[in-house]
Amino acid sequence: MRGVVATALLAFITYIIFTGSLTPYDLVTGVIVGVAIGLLVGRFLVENDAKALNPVRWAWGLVYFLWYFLVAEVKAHADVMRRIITGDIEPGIVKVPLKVKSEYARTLVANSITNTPGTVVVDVDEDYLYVNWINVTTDEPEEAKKEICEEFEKYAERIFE
Amino acid sequence: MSWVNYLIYAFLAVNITFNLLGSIALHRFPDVYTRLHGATKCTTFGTIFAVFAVAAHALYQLHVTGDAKYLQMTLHSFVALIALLLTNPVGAHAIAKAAHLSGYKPAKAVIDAYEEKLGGGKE
Repeated sequence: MRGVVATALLAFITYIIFTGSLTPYDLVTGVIVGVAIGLLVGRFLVENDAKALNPVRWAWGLVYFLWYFLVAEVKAHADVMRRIITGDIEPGIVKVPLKVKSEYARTLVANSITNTPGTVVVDVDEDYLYVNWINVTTDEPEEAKKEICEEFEKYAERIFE
Repeated sequence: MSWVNYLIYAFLAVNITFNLLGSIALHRFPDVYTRLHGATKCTTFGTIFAVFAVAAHALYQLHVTGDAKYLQMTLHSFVALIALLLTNPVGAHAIAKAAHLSGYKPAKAVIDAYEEKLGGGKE
């Protein structure tokens, strides 16, 4: 029964957003669909029920979402816009050590890095991310980490680990 | 109409500016990896503002007419935004890795740690 509640809740919310109505018919259908999906795939999606339903983690997720869009994206975009216009680039692939271990946290860090302008993750293995960086300032993995993804990892740890 | 229209125009202008910069980046940058930066990131950021424009229009109409379908319109456009944010980087990872494995090395690269790994590692 692992993961049923969290998955069903998410499926139900998605269903209600898509139908856009709160009539009893839609609510009942949503509950049936949500529970069915939770029973089918919940055990694959969730490893730990207490973690998945912990509101503190969800709140950190929301904080992260807002911080990411209002601060991280804007800062990086301003930098890359300048580079596009001036053509002042120094590309290269650097190694970045990754501390978080859970699949979700690693996905979040990798996706955040790729979504921030100036960095694209090329590959990932057990301990390192390989990141194509548009303006390489250092080839030391630890230094590079400080500039690329330290903040992302902190949030990923709070949300998923 | 009112100030909401100007707000929508402003959002759309930002959207178009970023998409234009993305296209310029495609022409200016030297290889597939740096072009990915322009092609994926600038369009994502542009699309965020397109969604804001839709949301501004829909919320204003909701305020004027009180019709719940406009609230639904806002929610749907944000769902589209979240889907884009989740899928766009995955596509970028896939393209970058495929390009490297099929032999396109980064042009003018100052360092290529991934090449070192492939050369000295499992392959």
